[in-house]
Amino acid sequence: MTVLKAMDLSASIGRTKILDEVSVNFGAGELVGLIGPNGAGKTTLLKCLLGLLKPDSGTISLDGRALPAWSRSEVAKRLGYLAQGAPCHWPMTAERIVELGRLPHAGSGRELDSQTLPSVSAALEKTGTMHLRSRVVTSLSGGERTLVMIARCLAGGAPLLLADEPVTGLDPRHQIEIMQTLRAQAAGPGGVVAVLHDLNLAARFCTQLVLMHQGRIVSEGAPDQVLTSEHLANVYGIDAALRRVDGQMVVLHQGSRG
Amino acid sequence: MIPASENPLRGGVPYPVLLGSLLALIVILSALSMTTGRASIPISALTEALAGADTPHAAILRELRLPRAILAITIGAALGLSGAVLQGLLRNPLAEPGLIGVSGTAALGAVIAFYSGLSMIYPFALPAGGMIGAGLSVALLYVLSGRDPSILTLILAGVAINAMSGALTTLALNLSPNPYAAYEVFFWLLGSLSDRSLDHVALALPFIVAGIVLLATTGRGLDALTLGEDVAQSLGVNLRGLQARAIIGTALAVGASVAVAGVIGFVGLVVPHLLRPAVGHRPGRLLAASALGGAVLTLAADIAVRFIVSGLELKLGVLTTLIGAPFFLILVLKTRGGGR
Repeated sequence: MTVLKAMDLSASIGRTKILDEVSVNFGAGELVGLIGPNGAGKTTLLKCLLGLLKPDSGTISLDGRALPAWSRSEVAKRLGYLAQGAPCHWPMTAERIVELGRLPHAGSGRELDSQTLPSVSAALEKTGTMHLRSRVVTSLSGGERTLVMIARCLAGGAPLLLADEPVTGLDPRHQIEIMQTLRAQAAGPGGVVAVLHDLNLAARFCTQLVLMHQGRIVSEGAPDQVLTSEHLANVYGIDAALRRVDGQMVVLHQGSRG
Repeated sequence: MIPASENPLRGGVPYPVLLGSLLALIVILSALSMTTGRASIPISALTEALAGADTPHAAILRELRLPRAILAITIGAALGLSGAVLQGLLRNPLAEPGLIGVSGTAALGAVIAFYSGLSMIYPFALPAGGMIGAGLSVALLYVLSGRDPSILTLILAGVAINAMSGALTTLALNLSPNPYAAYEVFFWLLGSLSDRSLDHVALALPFIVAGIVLLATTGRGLDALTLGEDVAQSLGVNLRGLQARAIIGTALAVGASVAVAGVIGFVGLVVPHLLRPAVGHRPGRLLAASALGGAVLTLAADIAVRFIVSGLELKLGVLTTLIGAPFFLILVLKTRGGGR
């Protein structure tokens, strides 16, 4: 069971301090929603946790061992990363893109390992993208492309998936499909951390929420503990009412505070 | 469920078929390159030449045609491969060895060797200067791009290096006290494979081969870079190491090529672009294909220059630029149109 921990993490981009002594603990069985306004430090936190950005101070440990002590490919076998906007620079087919998820497992001198075909097929099945496998990824819609990229992460078999804004800018059907896929992944042996802006989706699908503001964690816990009128007023500067509709928590945005 | 291997829409020609056909073309064109020219020579003379026979045909083959064919193959492979690697690294189909300034500084290095008079004393100072120039451009690129591995920085650094080396080369031509010397440099800059000896081959080949070997290791990293720098790193790719291998490999292969043959432009642009659909747009598989394709194109162009104008041999670099520049323009227009 993979556990990713950060202690007192501070990071800056240029001279601007982005993260200020953040501590988190992510593991299996949870779909954690990382929420907060633009510029709160959510993406920076993910990049530090993945080893893409070097923090100024603080420690990150993966399965009890300091992150920098791991080799890149060993980290890659444990942490999957879904980047914002699901970038793809060449018009390759979905199947080829999903195959790239197997790169951490490829032995030296070989393009791909023997588990590639079954892993790719299973990942395409799980994400409901089997019918897209021969399509060129750059011609897919944003939602389809994100699902293919999730399949790419699943094909790699990393137990922990870090997803940066997986549903931003997508239509409701794709948002729900993607959240369901992530939830299913978290219900299995894996865990998922997703940066989200839609508080209703966060409330409905996430098992845990982490609310960030100005580089700090303001609140964390179950959705109904984190999503309170007080927190939303302080962090987002909005007046919001929280209701339960058919047992489902709903955030009603009522206006911004001047 | 249809097994993936039976999927007909996978895109691309079967890989071994593609590489095999390109290899066959190289063999055919090499034979053509050695037998045609001002003197027509039967291919059977090759065995005489290799046996060290003293016939005129054997001498022409050994002294002129063989080095020319070897250089066309290796320089073409170096240019095609480095173009494919740079396009994968920069994720830009318009990238070319010239883009990061390697060809330009290699030319500058050779021009300096010429004007300092060193090449008068040691004939091989000219090619050596080219290789030093290419090496310096790589070092400068590292200083300019600093610790920031982003693509934009790399491209801008390349543009700056190119502008600088171009200015210094024209300055040298401008200040030339001897018009004949300027004329000679000017012709060398045009790029050609004629009148090269086996000594040229011996000087350039080890560097070109070392560069090609280094470039050939970048395939998997370039595949991952399709998904962007961050995702590539999250898949286990060491981005700095990948960039270092791509840039040093290009400096060795292209620097040594420019040193003995001058600037042969656009091979690295045209070849990867034409072959990309045949490999399903996969950057890794494009490498071997582009190396072989570069050899094919350079061999073919080097045969064509002997016949296009009767009684006069065109410069190889002039021909590749005549073909490549309009091609480049069309590519720019296509990229601007939003089509990839």
